[in-house]
This record gives sequence, C-alpha cells and structure tokens, in this order.
Amino acid sequence: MEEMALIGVKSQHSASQLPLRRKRLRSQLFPSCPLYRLYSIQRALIFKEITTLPAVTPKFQTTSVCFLCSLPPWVLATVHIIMAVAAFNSVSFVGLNKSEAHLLFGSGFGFPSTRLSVSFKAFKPMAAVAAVPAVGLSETFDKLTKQGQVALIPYITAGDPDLSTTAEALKVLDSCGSDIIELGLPYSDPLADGPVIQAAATRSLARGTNFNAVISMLKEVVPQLSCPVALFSYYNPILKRGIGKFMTIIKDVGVHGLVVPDVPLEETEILRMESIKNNIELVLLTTPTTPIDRMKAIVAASEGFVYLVSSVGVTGARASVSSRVQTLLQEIKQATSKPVAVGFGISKPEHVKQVVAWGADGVIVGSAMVKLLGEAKSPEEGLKELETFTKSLKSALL
Amino acid sequence: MACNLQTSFLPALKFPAEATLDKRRGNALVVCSVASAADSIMTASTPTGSAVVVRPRPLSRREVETSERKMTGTTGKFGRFGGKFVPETLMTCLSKLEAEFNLVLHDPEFQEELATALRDYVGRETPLYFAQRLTDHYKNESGCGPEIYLKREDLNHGGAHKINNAIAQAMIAKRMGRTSIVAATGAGQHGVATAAACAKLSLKCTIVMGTLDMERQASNVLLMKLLGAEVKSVDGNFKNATSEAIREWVGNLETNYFLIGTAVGPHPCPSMVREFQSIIGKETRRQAMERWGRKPDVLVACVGSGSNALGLFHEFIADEDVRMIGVEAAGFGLESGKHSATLAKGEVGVYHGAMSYLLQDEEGQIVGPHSIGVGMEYPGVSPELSFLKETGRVESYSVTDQEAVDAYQLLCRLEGIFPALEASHALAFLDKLCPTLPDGGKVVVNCSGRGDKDAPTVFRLTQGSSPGDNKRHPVSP
Repeated sequence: MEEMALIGVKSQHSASQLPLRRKRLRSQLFPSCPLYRLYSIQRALIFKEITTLPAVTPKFQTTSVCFLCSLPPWVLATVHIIMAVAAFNSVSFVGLNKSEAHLLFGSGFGFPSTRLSVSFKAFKPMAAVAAVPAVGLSETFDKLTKQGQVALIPYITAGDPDLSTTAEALKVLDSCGSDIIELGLPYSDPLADGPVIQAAATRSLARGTNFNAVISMLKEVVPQLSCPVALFSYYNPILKRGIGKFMTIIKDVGVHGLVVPDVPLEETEILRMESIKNNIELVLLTTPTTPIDRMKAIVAASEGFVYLVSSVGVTGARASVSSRVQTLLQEIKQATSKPVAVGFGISKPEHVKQVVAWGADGVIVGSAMVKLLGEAKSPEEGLKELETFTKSLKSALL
Repeated sequence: MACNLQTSFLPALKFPAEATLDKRRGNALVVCSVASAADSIMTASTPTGSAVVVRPRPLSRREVETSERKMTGTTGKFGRFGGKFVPETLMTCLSKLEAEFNLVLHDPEFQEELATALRDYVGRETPLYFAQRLTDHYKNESGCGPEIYLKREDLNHGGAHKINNAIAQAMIAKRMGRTSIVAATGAGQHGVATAAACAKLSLKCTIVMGTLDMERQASNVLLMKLLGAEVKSVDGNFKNATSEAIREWVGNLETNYFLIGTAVGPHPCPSMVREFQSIIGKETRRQAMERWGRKPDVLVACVGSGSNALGLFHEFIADEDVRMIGVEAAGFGLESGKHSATLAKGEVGVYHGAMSYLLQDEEGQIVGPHSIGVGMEYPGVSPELSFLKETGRVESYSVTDQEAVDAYQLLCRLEGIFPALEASHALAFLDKLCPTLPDGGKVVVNCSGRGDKDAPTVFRLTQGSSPGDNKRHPVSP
C-alpha cells in the first residue's frame, strides 16, 4: 500500500501479495487517518524496520515521533498495544466479521502469534466509538412530556433468533424512533408470558444464549443507541447471580432500567436497595386486578415509569385493548404524576392511538415485535419487517 | 370490583366459638407462629428442632392476628422460604383465596361436610397396618429390629393421598362461586382425584399434563377423561404442566380456580395443601396412641414436592422425640445429574411463586429432573419442607430408581401390597434405616399411593426376577 511504501516499512508481505480484499478494507478504514500513520511509523521504529524517518512524513508527525522516540521503549510498547487494541475495536463497529478482522490484523501487520478475533463472547474493555450517552427512563419521559409526545417502548427477547440479530434489532428499533427499549432475558419458565414470548425464550435458550453473552452484546451495542435500555428478567436468574452483582453488571454495560414481573411489591425491598445503589430504575407493574390502595403503594414505589398491564392474563396480542384501561389510567393519574406506560396485548397502530387518546404516557409493544422477528423466514427479513412495523407504530403516535 | 368489596367486608365478620374447633386449631396456629416468627428464625442461630416448638396461643389473639393479616396481606413465609412470587395480576386472587381458607378453617359446617366426605367418599380413616413380614425381613441376626407400620394412604379413593386435598379445595372453590377448576398433574393421581371431586361437586374440570407423563401414566389419563375432565397436554412434564396451569389461571381469574395438588406455589397454596393433608398425621397420632399408648419413633415419607410428607409430619413437628425422614429420588444417582433430589442437591431460588430449594443450573434456569417415580419429578420442593430441612427438623436422604423398584417388589412379595413407585422410595430407605434403630422402635412409613399404575413399568424392568437380584438397571427414558 502507498503509505507503507512511503514510510519505507519493510513488511513481511509485499504490497502485491496482500489479497485485494485486505487492501480494500485497509483503504476503507485508514486512508488518511493521521493516527494510523503515526501508529505505523512508531511501530516501524520499535520493530526497527526503519532507522530514519522518511522524508515525506508531515511535520507534525515528525515532531510527535521525535518526542515519542525520547520515551523509554516500554512506554512506546504499551502505547503501541493500546492503540492497536483501540484500532482493532473500531473494526467491530464497522461491522466486520471474524474472518475479515483476521485479514486485517493477522500476519499482515506482523503480529507475532496472537490471533485476535471478534466474538460476542469476548469481554472488551474499551468502546472505541462513543455515541451520545442515553439518559435514564424518567428523564426520557420528562423530555417527551415537554414535547407533548408519547413514548414508544418496544420489547424483544434477547437471542431470538440469535444475539447478532438482537444487536441489529436494537439499532433498528432505536433508529425508527423508539424512546425506550425493553430487552427480555430468556428464562426457562416464564409465568407471565404467553405462547409467543415463551417460544422466543425456548428458541433463544436452545441456541445457548446466556447472561454473559447478552451482556457482551449489550456492551458493544448500548453505546450506539440514543435511547435507554431497560432489562426484563424473571427473579430466579437475578437471585442466582446475586442481586448486587447483577445490578452492578447491568449498570456497567449502560442499562438504565429493570422490570421483574414475578416479584410482588412486598419483596421488592432488596431489589430496590441494590438498584438505587447502582442507579438502575426499578419499574413496577400494576394490573386491572390490583385494588386501589395497593395500586397507590405500587405507583409510589415505582421508578422510571409505572407499567400498567392492560388485561388480566399473560402477554400476547389481543384483538382490542380493554376499555378498563381508560378508567385505570385515570385512577393512576390521580394517584401519581409519574409517567404511565400501558403494555400487554398492544399490537396495532389502532391500539396505540386508542391508548394514547386515553391518556397514556407510553405504549409498550412486545409479542407483536417478537413474533415478527422470531417467525420471519430469515433474520434480514425479520429486521426489515420490524423496521416497517415500528415506523407504523411511531406514526400512530405523532 | 367484587374483590375490593370482599376484602373490605371480611374483617367485619365474627369468628364462631372455639368449642368445636380445637382439633383444627393446632395446625393453623403453627402457620401463624412460624410465619410471624420469621425474623427471629432467620437471624438467630437455631438449635435443631427447637426453633419450631410452638406454644398454642389463645384464640382471641389469633383472631386479631388473622384479621390484621388480612388487611396487610401475609407473606406466608417459613423462615426465608415461601412467599408469593407471582405476577401482580395474581396477587389479589391469592389474598382472596387466603381469606377464604382462613374462613373455612373456622367454619364448623364446612368442617363437618369435609369430615363426611373424607369418611364416606374418600374412605378414611386409613389403617395403620403392621407389616409383620417386612419387620421380620429387617430383623438382624439376633432377631432385633424396629417394627414397621404402613399408613395405608393407598387405600383412599383414587389410590393416593391426593384426594384429601382435592376434595377440600374443590369444596372451597364451590364456596367461592367458581365454576371451573384447573389443575396440573404429574403422575396423574392428583388429576384423577381432582376430576373425581369435580364430578362429585359438578364443577367443570381441566387437567394439564405433560406429554411425557401422559405416556408413562396412560391409565390415569383414561380415568380422568372418563371422570369428565378435559385433559390438556403440554410439551414436557409436571413442571411445564404447572407453569401452563398457572398461566391459564391468570388468564381467567373470575371463573377459574387453580387447584394445586402439592405443597408448592405462592402462599396460601402450600399452607392449604399441608393443612388438608395433615389429616394423615392426626389419624396416625390417634392410632398410635390407641395401639401403643405413645407416639411413633420415626416417620418416613417420600418427597416429591412434599405433600404426603408434610401431611404425615406436620402433626408431629412440635414433638422433638419423633424423628422425621424425607426420602427423595436419586434417579440414576446423585452424581449422574439425572435425579430429582431437590433438598440434597438444590439451591435456594424462586420457582412457581415461592422461594425454596430448587434444581437449577448456573444461569438460574430450571433443570428438568428425572425419576422413575413420575410423581417425584419436580425440580422444586415445598417451602415449608425446605425450612424444616434447613433447621434440621427433617432429615433428608435419597434413593435410586433401582432401589425403589426393588422395594416395590419386596413389598409385593412380603406383604401382598403394591405401593406406588413414589412410596417405594420411602420403603427402599428402610434398608439403610432399620439396622440403625433399636429393637422395638416404631417406624411409620407413609404408603402414599398404590402401584397399579406402575405395574407395567416395574414388570418391564424386572421381568419377574426377585428383589435383590440387581440384574437389571432402569431403562433410561
């Protein structure tokens, strides 16, 4: 490649031997990046492939390289490694897969023996690309209320059909105007879920989805999202990991909220203690069967927003939204000024419009989304359908 | 809402006089004391057994407590176990159920009706049978050994102890105005019992059963259908059936009544089942007093989820000199990974609405258990039993499939009684227990069900070989 030739680096392979693809990839990534040039000069100096700075090096690079040369070699080596890792991490955000990454960072750069590979199961300490960090759930609702808008909150199950599709789906949902995204952790015995989400959980678990894999995926994806993510998990997997540990881990990846459907108000104390420590908003649910006094206690304790379950039963699309929701929304609004999002059974733009007209601050759509993704002929088609569907729901909110 | 009205109405009711209620008081009091003493049991270090010694309280204080609890909503905890870990939609329904349960405990009419049903329909009281040949079999060389008595729950209508609870809960459902019963069953015994009770009380009955279980206990499926129940199949086994039954219940709270068959689930289910099964223990105490003038020394029962074990044990919890042994299913062996020994190998977690010991993997996902006794295959266990095991009041051991099959054959040959494979687990433990007991010690084994349903399985596995041959191993499912 031209740059390499310019700085006179002796590489193990001459330019013509590099596969065309690799050249193309490199030129895509680092055509004129000064950092890269600095890096390669520095590297060349370390590995003693050049002994003098090439004449064509721009002045600022010469100055910085001279400075760098005055540092002890171990510092240079450390900086070299850090920059390599940073550059390497940036690869994953460009959507390269494993083999392409190998092409770039394998023998072409002369790394002695380490084979770095992109894998969603690896733990990467640095995110090279930092998007604008998303705000918490309450702040999101504050913003929307000021603009007079209602929040669109889609729900999908992690790992159905697979984690990389989930990663893409999260980005799609974000770009189509979702205000908060609920991500469900698959569980073997979901008591609150109907057949669609049950099936999604079974498929996800059969593929070997586990908590660590979901966290690795979130670590990469959450910084790219502009809307906050809330996790939806049953209690036993949280208990098994240890409530404090669970909260710390999800906080570290940038999750803002948590919904645990099978913990009643009385048992939420420990959860709330740990969630407060870690700045995670614990959302509580209220239902049509909840008596008013209990509902008041629930809405007082709920953080982020109040999740109003629209019907008596498990999750799953229904033909229409129960008219009780209107009364329930009024009762809740009398009891609290916190935002209320309605979920369970909402699957069409008409449902969304109706719920908005009744005064909801947010609309949660789960099974309909999960069905699209899980039952599509291919992940790409599922993502396309998801995009169309989300846009149709968003337009119903405007 | 009707539910709001009912909960506000209840505290105004007066409870009837205590004269006729002495017998039932004992158990309800233990519920109160154990549940409310939760904090002290959790934090203080407890000497084994004494933590659950309960002094009966005067009725008036309990009345107050009960009505107070109605307003605040009890947690139903046994130490750290138990509780109500269910979706919010179910919470009010559980409170109503608890209120109704407390009412029937004090209602003399209900108690009389129940006693009549237990006597004339179920066929109680069941005999405490002295197994002479079995006792002789376990005697050592010097002719010393304990005396073995079998509590014949297999002689109940339906063939198991399940009917004790099913008939009582069906009566409660009718009282509450429910028209449709949903129940989940493993071995099918609870399904048969529920279907029978529903036929008797003219209630619509839906039984949810796992496809694997339906294959293994086909005769029970036929019986359920003949008794008029609709049998709904679900992929998997009892744990999947229970999850599906709970979902059905949530979907139809006004008309459906979820009739739980074992002492698991959210409060008040474990307490209700234990209360209705405790008739076993009460009869045993009376029969023991009549025959020997004293209490039994050791109680042995199989533990699947704990209903028959708690039924036998509960009466004697306060009697420290009575030893209690729960026997679980070790399947192919505890180290094989294919077993149902929750108390032995489980960890504490939340499942089907309660906190208890649980067979789970490192992610907190629920593990599918295995046992040749279909009714033993449940990854959880009763929260009350978890508590009793943790405090050391109940000892817990386990027995493999092969040992259970051998015990089945042994009882057939020695006493002419065919026990269910579940109960055979308890009988198999006698092998290890009897050599350690003094001469003349009284051992009561709960023969929780009869074994017609298991005859094809046992016959296929043994092909007529005599017990102790150990020639064959259980065929993997």
